[in-house]
Amino acid sequence: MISVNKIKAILIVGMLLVFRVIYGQSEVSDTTNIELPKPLKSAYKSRTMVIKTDTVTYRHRWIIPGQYKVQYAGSIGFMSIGFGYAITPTYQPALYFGYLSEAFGGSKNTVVTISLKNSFYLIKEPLFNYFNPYVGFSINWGNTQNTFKKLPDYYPDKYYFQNKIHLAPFVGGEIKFDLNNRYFNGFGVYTEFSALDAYLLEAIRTKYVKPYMVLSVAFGVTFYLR
Amino acid sequence: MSPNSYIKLVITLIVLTLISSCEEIIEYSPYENIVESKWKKQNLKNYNRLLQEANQSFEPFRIGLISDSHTYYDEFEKQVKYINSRNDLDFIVHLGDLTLSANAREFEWYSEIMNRIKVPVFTLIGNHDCLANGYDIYVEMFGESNFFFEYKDIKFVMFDDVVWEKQIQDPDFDWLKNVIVNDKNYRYVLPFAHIPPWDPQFSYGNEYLYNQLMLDNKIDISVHGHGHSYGYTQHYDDVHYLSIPAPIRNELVIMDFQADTINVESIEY
Repeated sequence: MISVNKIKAILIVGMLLVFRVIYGQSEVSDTTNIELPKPLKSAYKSRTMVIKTDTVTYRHRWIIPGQYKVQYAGSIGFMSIGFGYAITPTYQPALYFGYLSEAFGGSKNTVVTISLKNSFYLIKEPLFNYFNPYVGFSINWGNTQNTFKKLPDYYPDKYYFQNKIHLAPFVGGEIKFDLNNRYFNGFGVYTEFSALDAYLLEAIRTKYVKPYMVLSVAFGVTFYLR
Repeated sequence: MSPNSYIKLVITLIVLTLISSCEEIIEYSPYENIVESKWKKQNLKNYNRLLQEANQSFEPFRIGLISDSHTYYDEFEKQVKYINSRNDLDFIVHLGDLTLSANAREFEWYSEIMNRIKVPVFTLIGNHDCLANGYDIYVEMFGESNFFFEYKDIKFVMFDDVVWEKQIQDPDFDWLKNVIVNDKNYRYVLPFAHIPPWDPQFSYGNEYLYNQLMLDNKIDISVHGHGHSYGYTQHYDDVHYLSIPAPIRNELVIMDFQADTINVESIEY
């Protein structure tokens, strides 16, 4: 079992390493003189196709996710990995695969979560050059024992509400840096607070459950493809 | 921006990380089965608190019965306050359904409120507590879902009769049949189970079997939750079925054990 303390240590060491990379490269600001690696080159290359009398020009680039993410906690697993797209500068969705088990997070039951995180970036230019706040909602699809979308036949109608898919609104912020790497030109560290629908409902309808009791924190990093 | 600004940002972020790393705010999954050690096997821990009195010979005593607290947290808190205002109860039995969807934090919130009760509490499993990983979380948090104990010459039998949510055909009647027997000349044997036998979860066969086991073993009272309201009826024949209300009813059911009889009373507060 990996404890929270170990995670903290890993996070700190990771950040120091990242800082070292950023600091070491801060003198070089022009990334254009680094040659693109072969797979990216071929992805960016424009291709043409002739359909009858029309010539269509296209690139593979759009299908390749521009963002690669690793996240800790956040109610979608002990660790999760994801990829995302900047569909517009404001709307940037990402798909995550999260995992939790006894050896990996300390839960006696294994949970596999697939999460679609819909992030909306609030401002065009980052605050203090680096900070990007965002809001959004996740659709979390949880797979473990005895979760269901449709109740088995032996239950009376509407005996339980489905417990497989949960919505979780969140607020978060990312600090983004430039990166001089053959593949990646940006690197971000983010933190976000989410609230699961089931918990949020209790915070609304009871006095006992205070808003802070429904929050779940996540830490993650994003790598931005060139 | 100078490299110094980078340092400041990174350090701020690390500090923020550490501050918000308190355990409560970190959740890996709403289905996680991670139970803090202070909340492990609480039924066993609570019985150990009673050990001294449990082995004494019979003398009249009273217990309190509660059930189906689900997410009625405010009403449950009120009930706990009322229980603590009385000094005449030896222990409390909660007849199951501590959660609505068996999510991890619901179990924690229940434990947090329940542990404010000054006398020991025994928690039974309910059908809602078996959704998702609830059954396994219950076992970690409270102990086996079928259990019995002795207290002042009375045998208390706690029976897990959840069927649908556990995706099984029948409750463990073999276990009940062995345990419900008055094998040590107890003054009373008293069974508790979340679901009453007339509920649709029981097949006709199981419904008949449950009542027959009571008759065969000369059980006078069988105690249940699930219905959210108070009831004390002879549903079939001689056996009395006691139904415990949910906290929203603002009632506390008291069971008063006398040498020759058991008195049941529901008190509004």
